[in-house]
Amino acid sequence: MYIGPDSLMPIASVFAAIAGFFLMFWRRVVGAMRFMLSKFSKKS
Amino acid sequence: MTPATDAGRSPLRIVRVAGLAAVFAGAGHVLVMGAKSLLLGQFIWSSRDVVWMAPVGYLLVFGALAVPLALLAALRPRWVPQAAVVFLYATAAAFSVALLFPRIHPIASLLVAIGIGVRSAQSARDAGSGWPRLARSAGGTVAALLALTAVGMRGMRAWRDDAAWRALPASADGAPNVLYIILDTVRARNLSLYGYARPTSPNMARLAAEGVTFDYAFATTSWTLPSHGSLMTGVDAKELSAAWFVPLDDSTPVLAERMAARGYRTGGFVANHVYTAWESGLARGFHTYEDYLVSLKQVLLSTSLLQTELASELSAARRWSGRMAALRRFNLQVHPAFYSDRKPAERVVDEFLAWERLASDRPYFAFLNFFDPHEPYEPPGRFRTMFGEGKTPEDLYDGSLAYLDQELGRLADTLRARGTLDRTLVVIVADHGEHLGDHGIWGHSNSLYEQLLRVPLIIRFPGRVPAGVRVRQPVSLRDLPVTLLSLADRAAPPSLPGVSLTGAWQRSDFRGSDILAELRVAGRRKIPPGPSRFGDLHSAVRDSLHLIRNGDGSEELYDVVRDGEERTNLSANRAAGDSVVTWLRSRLPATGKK
Repeated sequence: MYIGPDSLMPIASVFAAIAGFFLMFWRRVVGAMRFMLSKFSKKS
Repeated sequence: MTPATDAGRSPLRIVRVAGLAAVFAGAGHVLVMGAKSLLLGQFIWSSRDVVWMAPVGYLLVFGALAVPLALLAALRPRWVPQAAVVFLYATAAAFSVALLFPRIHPIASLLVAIGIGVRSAQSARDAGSGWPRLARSAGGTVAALLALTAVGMRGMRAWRDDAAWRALPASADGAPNVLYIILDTVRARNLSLYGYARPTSPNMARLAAEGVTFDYAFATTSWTLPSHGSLMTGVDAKELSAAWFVPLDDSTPVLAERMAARGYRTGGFVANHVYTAWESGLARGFHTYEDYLVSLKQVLLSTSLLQTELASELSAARRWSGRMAALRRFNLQVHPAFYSDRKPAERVVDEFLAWERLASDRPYFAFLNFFDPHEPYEPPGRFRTMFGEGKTPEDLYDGSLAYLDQELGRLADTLRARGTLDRTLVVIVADHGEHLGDHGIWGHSNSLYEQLLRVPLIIRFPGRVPAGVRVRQPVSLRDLPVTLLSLADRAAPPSLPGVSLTGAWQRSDFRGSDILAELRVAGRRKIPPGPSRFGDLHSAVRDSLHLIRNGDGSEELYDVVRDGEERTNLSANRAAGDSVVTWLRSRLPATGKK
């Protein structure tokens, strides 16, 4: 696969990839965050 | 909704989903292009009609997949669940827009697109039967906005051009038409008019026999935009704003504005979409400016998916091995500058002749740019094998020249038949030449050798320009604007930069402006092989000597008359006190490696 290092911003690409993963697993991410929040609020 | 009902409606729904995805992809495309052009001032290398071309193009691309999917859904509904269709098209639409950000790796773009596809499919499932109505409503609104914007933009352009046209002052009695023909990438040495063995320019020779031919006309640089800038302003390329990603600004008046101020109607008909289209700065002052074609191919090439190198390589490959190689490379870099529906010379001539025919009591100033000899060399029909078997670059380049020459002949013959040719000041010139392996270099914008700077120049105007004259003194193309104005408007001496070349056929000791050239590399993303890899280049010509100062400070000196191909560097042989060499050196800035 072609990669052009002179035309890519690696940081932007990493952020874009992370955003893509968040979107793909959005429900699981949101569910996990809610679970952690509920645990935290129970403890406190 | 029962599964049976859902299955029964799914073929049409697939088409609707494809249509919605096309609308959203098109809107995203237009928004990104708009932001780049209006907010960031970047070249977008798209037609002004991208507002409607992009959505229609995506509709065709997505629709091409929707038809077989819809047929499959009609035959096997369970094989094509709605959520999968929404995911597929949402991903495709998002990926199309993400590709417009070249600094993000295509894999990262794909991950974002898949994420959007997953969310869209989940939303569609959650919304249930309400989703189609919601999506249609949003899609309809977006489509209406795009249509209104497209119509509005066209209307604004037409209104503005009409207003400018109506505000024109009266033209002088007897003012001639001015036809300014600029041949992109044509070097003088490959024209039979200049002694080339192959018959590449019989029609240009016919016109030259009725006018003046300049044997040593030198461009001010070796690439399109600043060279055209000099041809339109009378200013050396080094003094213009035009750069690799910067258009010609409005700090210097251009010929079209000066001619309009004299009551001329002005029209531009250009084929080089990369550096002479509407956003180049060269369209300023023209009432009519025809650049990109309105064609099915241009509509399809207004989508990012078909502007990728992968798409280009797949369409160009003639064998399966080539297609497999392209798939293995899988290059998704988008290059809108490289991929547009190329306008052949025949089309440029037709557009101009249709405009020229419009009834008007005003003289016209017309600018024609022809792109046919530019890479890739693709002469049409018989011109492909006119010289040799059509396999070598030089054979194809010469074939392109011959085709271009044929169209110039048709243009002249048509104007002659209409009775307007002899009332028209005709100038035929090129913006720069081309390397065909000379000095081990190919292409242009990579050196300042004779092959790139020495271009054809013919001026024909019966009654004011003598016939059959050849001027041997070297001249600079920056002197053309003042020459055109001095020939077209004898009442008022033009106050613009340069020296009128009319003196060249009147006096044997004529000297025009200093013949200087520059090639800047700053801001260029990729520097091609050639002397430009050492930094900015500068050159000067005086009498028969051509001095080039390279970016590393080295010098090359050639006698362009005795050594036309510039093979023998004389810089070590000339006497230390040589006055011409001293003068040449005084004209060039010191350079260092960049």
